[in-house]
Amino acid sequence: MWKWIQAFASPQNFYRISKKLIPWFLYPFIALTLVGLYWALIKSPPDYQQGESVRIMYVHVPAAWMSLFIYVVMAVAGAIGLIWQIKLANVVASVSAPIGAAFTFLALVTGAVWGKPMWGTWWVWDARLTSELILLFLYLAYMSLNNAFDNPKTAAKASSVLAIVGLVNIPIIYYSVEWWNSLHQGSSVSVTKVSMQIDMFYALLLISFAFKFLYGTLVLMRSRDEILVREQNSRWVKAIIIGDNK
Amino acid sequence: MELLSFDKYAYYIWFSYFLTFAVVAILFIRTQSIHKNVITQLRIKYSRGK
Repeated sequence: MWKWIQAFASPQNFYRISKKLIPWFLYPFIALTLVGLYWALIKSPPDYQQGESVRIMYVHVPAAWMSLFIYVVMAVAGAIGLIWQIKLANVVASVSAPIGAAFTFLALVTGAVWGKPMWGTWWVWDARLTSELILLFLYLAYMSLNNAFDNPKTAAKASSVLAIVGLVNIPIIYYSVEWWNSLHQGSSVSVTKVSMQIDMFYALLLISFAFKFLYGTLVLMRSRDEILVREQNSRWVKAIIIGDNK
Repeated sequence: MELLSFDKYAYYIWFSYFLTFAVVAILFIRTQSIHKNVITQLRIKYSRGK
């Protein structure tokens, strides 16, 4: 197993294999998005309290989940790169940051758009909203730090430490609605319970999986380019660029 | 089409979905532009080194 991981994690092997993997993420993303949109906009019923506005949930909640998921992936990849010096882990961490920042931005803005008709305000300095905003700043800080050094090794070390320290914010975001009095509603979905109508849950699940596949597609595509840049002095990269450019 | 009218919340709902679509599109466009840029830069580098 460890040998297989080591072989896969070599930049050259990853570059070769990742090209074949991209369609396996891209096509499920497209299919799940189309089915998910049908479920979210047509099949699922309006909420008995929030009416039609509940349909914002199908993009807001998956985006918020992705913002947490990607941060954890980024910090774990950063830690692996830091401890075992695996180049691919640093590549995954660095390409994940802008994608995670995009999802966090999306969660914040769609949350504000949902908040206006439901709470009567776009924004409150509530624990959930504030901690999610801090997550966006953590992503931006990570990206700035990663670009602040010419040496990729130094950049990876510094930004990985920041990502690991920032992990403390993840449980704060998740439990903020339980730990503090919050305008934000509590979780309707957890590992043990689902307190919503089944079609609502399916819509949420479909778009969540679509976002996961989107993340996979983008990480694979961006990692390939990042590897080319980092390995530009290798013969195999030169052969690819001068050769068939694939 | 009345099915997708969404009462008084139409503006909020369509804005959220449009924004999501825009963010996803930007992520793909940016990924493609990074790819083109990397290939161009590396080609220039290798052609200078010949």
